[in-house]
Amino acid sequence: MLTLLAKLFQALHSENSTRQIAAAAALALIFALSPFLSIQAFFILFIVLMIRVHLASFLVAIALFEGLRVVLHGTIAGVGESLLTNPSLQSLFTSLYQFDLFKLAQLHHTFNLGALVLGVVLAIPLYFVTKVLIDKYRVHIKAFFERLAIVKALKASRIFAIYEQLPKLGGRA
Amino acid sequence: MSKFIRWQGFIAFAVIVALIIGVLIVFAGPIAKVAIERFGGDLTGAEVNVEKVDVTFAPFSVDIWQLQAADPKAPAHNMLAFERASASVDLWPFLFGKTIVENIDVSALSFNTVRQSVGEVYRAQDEPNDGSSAAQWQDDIQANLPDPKALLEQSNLLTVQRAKALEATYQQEKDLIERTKAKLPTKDALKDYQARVKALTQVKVKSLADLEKIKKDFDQLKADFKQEREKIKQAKADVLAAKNTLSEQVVALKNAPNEDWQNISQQYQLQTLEAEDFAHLLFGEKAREYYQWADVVFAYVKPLLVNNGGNSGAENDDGEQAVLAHERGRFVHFEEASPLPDFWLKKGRVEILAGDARYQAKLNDITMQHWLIDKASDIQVSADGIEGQGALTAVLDYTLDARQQLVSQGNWQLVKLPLQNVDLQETDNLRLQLVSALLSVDGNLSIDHGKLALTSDFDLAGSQFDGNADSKIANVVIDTLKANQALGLTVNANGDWLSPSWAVSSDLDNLLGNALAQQVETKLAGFKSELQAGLNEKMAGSLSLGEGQLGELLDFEALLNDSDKAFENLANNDVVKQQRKKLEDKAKDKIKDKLGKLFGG
Repeated sequence: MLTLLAKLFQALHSENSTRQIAAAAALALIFALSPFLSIQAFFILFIVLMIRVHLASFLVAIALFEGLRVVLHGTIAGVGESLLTNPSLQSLFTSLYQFDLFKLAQLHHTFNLGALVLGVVLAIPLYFVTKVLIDKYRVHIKAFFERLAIVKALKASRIFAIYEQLPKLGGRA
Repeated sequence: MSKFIRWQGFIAFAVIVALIIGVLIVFAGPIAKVAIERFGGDLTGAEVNVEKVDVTFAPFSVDIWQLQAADPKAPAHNMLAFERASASVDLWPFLFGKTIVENIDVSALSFNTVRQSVGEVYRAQDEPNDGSSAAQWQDDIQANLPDPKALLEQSNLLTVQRAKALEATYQQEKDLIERTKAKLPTKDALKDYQARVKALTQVKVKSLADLEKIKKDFDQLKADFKQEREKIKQAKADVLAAKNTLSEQVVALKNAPNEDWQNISQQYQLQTLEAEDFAHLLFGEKAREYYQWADVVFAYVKPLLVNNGGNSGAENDDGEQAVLAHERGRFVHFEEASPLPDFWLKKGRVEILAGDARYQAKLNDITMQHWLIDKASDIQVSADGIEGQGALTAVLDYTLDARQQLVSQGNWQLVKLPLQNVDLQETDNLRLQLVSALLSVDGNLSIDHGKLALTSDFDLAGSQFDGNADSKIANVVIDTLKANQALGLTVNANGDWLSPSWAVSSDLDNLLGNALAQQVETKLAGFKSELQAGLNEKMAGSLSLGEGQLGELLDFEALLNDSDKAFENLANNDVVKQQRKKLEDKAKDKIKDKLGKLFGG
């Protein structure tokens, strides 16, 4: 976990693309809201592994958003319920229901559909917000933190030693 | 391209997926075991144990070994247990959320067996209202014959109330009459008036002035008479009113004992004692145990019926179940070319162990969405050698249409089931045991669009009862049961199949009713005479007072009439007229004397 956090900080401090970190956070949100053993979760995992997004950021973000899933459980199911039972969407879902893939993904389950829709809807603004925050961090907050005595103390600690070794571990994700 | 694509990620993905699938395959059995124990515990509210679960994937089937579900009400016992259950499920529809069970086979299913260790209870069950009907009906019978002495001590008896009222009126009227008497002219006063009138008649009238004086004196007397008569008139009115009041209260008091008896017999239902439903009272307790068991089973089945109701996502379920389903998430199915039901057990066999008998249940096409499979669900149960010689056959088929309207037909026959040492009542006041009997049951049911019509005849042949009781009436019940070896009982249920109204009738009602009527008649007669004697005694004292007072009033009324008549006679006396005539006669005689002397007479 220390290594993961160090990797995250290294990514924030490095010249890594902010888009890679923001995309990792956005995809982590969709993944975290989805049921673990679901087609959509596997699909997100496939994308994360195949596309160059920052893996450490993805894993840390999952840990954060898992808690969000517990808190929003009822809301997620409610979103799915309102979509699947919406009379104006009946014909759309009836058409989709004829495909085995739709049923195999269990998108006719209120929680699964709600998690996917809510995840995608929240992931889009999250991507841009994360991007802006990283840019701000690099410009303002990084310099501020480096002036703090505690940071100076940390730099003398083992965590910082790990952090320093990261390029040797292939830190550029 | 390679700036965006990480080709080694594909390998990582394949490895992760393979790992997950591998773990699922290797640990499917233990995972299923934990899942069954956890969800079973949530469902029943008590510990569920499974020895082993085997999962095979081609074809997909699950074997569960040695399942025991503790009874939350009696955790030392299993609510149900079985040795082995195997089910083969269609995997592909299962991934879509449809549970299509090709075959299920349950061996040695048993209920209420002793557990090896006491099960943990997660959720306390609601205790049934244990207002024992046995205790109630005994209380009723005891209450039906109250203690006469206690009853007679009650102050709300009409006899007591009216006797007190009569005594109060007697005292009140007595005081009034005494006061009235004091105001009335005495006998001496009347004699004085008579003497004064007589004196006026004896006055020697010599002149008109004397006559005028007599007239004046008599007028004065007449005015006195008028005053006295007014007093007498008022007294007569008072006496009449008192007489009426007392007469009414005497009559009311005389009727009070009968009215009290009517009230008591109505209050304690002494006239309807024989109409009690004894069969229901006696066997209801035993039947209630079976009913409660069925009620528990139904409580678990009912949510399944409700949840499986809808086919379209547009249909919303109401109520608590729907709220829970919405919070947890649920499958919403839509119309498709070849729809499958949410749950469909195509074939099943369940072997049930109860006592030394093995019941075989065959299940065909069990579902709650028959309109999708166009078949009826069919359940057949059979058993031989129940308790040695009993045999059971039961058949039930049912279908639900898309509007969840139930249509069902069923019948059952139980032949010569030996019953031994069945405790029917076990209370402080009554112990009743069916020592031995052969029970036969023949019944059928039909449900047409939710309307239930059920009849089941229970016949006991060669029945032997034993028992004892504190009360005489309960002993009559026991004696009657002992004297009748063949007893019948019919259970009917009608109305909405989810909440039917039950009725129990039996020839036992008549048998016990007649026996009790004889016993009760004698007892009631004694009770009635004792009670009425007490009431009459309470009435007698007051009644004699009232009737004595009435007699006194009548005498007083006669006296008043005599006095009034006497004053009337005195007032009508022609004393002035008589004296005038005397004066006139005297004047005439004088004139005659003078004329005779004048004409030489």
